[in-house]
Amino acid sequence: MKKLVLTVDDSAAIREMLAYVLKSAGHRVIEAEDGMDGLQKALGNQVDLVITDQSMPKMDGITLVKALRALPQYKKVPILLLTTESADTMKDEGRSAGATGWLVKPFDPTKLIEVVEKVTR
Amino acid sequence: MSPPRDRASDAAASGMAELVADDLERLVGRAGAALNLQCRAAHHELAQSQLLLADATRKLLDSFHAANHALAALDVEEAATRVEQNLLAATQHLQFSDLVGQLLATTEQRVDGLLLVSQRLQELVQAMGAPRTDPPAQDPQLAGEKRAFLEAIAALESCGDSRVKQWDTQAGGIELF
Repeated sequence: MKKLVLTVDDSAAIREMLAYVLKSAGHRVIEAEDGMDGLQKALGNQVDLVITDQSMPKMDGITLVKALRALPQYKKVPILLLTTESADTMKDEGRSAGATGWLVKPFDPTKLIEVVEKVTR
Repeated sequence: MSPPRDRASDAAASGMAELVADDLERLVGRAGAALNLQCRAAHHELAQSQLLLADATRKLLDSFHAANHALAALDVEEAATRVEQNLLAATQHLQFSDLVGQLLATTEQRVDGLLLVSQRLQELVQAMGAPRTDPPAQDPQLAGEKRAFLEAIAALESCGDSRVKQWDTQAGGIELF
């Protein structure tokens, strides 16, 4: 079933690659350039999944996860962190904030689609 | 009043200390100038790399999308499937620009720190060599230059490790909580 996915990353290359892969699997995509932009777009659209970078200007990914989890409509929506960070301390912080999973860049397009289907089932 | 031999010995020691100080000042000054020159060059090269990378990435992305649109117009199913698979695989490798961009940004910050240290070092060396009426320990300008130099070193020391640990564009791990 087609899902509406919000992708949040300050890198245009990552946003465009995510959009290409997600659209090729039949999903619809909304793009945001940073955490603040992501939060505003999440408030304006009820999305089925959020995929966000961690290190971004204005608002980082973990802060975005906390802000979304504070909203009743995003309590149970899956949120994946897609980042270059792979330190366990950072992952623990993401888990505590309420993230659904942690993906390290660069992502494998086939595995990404599998994960998207698994967490939005 | 000290005996003549002691006075001669004091004068020799004082002359030697001056020579050592002059030599050290010249060496530090030369090192500072070289550091400054190389840091400036590295700074410009990094900025140039960022621009080139951004330009190349933009063109790659435009070509990628153009190929995708052209493919959509084709009516050859088997060929289209193969090209689609290749385009999908390319999405993994095109992510290199994000990784390299982050690396370059970290290196640029590091080189900026080095540049500031070299500038402050040159200023400190100039202040040390300037004629003064107060003893060096009480010279306010020298104290200010020393403080600025130490602040620049502290800023350089605060440059942490890069977040990018990848050495190739192989896919990263996935962990679901």
